[in-house]
Amino acid sequence: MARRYEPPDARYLTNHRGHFVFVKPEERKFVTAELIRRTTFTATEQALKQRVEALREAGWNQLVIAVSPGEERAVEDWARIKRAFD
Amino acid sequence: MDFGIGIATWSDSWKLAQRAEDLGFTNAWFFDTQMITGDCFVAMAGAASKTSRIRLGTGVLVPSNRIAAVTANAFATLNGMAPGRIDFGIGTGFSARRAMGLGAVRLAEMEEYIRVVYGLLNNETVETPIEGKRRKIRFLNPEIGLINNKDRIPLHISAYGPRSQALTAKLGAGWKSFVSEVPGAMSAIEGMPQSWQKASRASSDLHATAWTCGCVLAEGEPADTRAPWRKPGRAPRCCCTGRLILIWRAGRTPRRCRRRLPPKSPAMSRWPAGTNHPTRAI
Repeated sequence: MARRYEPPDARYLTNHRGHFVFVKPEERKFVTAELIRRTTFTATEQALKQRVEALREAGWNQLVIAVSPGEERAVEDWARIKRAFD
Repeated sequence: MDFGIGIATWSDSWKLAQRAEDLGFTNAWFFDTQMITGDCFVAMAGAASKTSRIRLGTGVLVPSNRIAAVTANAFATLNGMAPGRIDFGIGTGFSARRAMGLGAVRLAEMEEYIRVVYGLLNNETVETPIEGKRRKIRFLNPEIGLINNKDRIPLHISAYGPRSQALTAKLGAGWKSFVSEVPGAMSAIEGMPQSWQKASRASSDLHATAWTCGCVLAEGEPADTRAPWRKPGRAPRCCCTGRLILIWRAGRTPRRCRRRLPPKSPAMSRWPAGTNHPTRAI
């Protein structure tokens, strides 16, 4: 797919559109529930608390949650996880 | 465990920093990706004027975007607005520079950049190449209070590979990395102490920050229901996929990522076996 991006001498102009901000329509088919589950911190509150506890025990000092424009309400959800570690 | 937010910088991102502060988050980190998001220093200034406790940092700054003197000045100016609440996060700029068709900055160049920034913040006269010639520079009148270079501005380095981790240890900087799930996070933090100890640093001094993306699901809710395109009109609440997609766009993936992916995922056919991902930073 990326090999067909235009212009040919600057495919990065299309390739990186929305980089870490949104998913381009043509790329959505690759993002399955299974892929999300395996490669992100997407889970129930209880499961996420267990994961964060594992990170804390391993020595991580801070967990940073990336929040994109339009997705600001996610910070409210993550605040519930945070409170378990206050 | 502290909690921070990573902000895809935009004009009003001070509102998110302010809300995060209200909710007790300790840090707000602002992307420095000039072709994709807003300007980190402008947005951090907005956040500095609207918050009073949360720490504000670049997450992470790209050395080639500004000469070191401008960066030192920007941090010192922010430090005047939010004394003692500013963090200097830096990386090789893989993402931001790829968006302009460029590769990552060399580690030696990044180290030199850090040297000049902190030299200036420490009121030293530093010699550095500017426009092809080595020149001596320093802040000429820091004592009159236009900037604040007195309160400490901690350094954090985004480091994925052994050489960048060694540099992090050499400089005694905070360490930033990206984690997708727990086994990978365990693997990453098991390797970093070796670099840290080689630099003769106490393990208790290592400050490790894990970046991630994800979503808090309700019981029984499938992982993809909150993806924006699944429910038109519903406000999306998570950023689950950006990291994955950016890896995919790069055309390669780390071996450790391949092991975690479902074997029959359509995306897997895109990644040739045995390839590895180049050093990168967010």
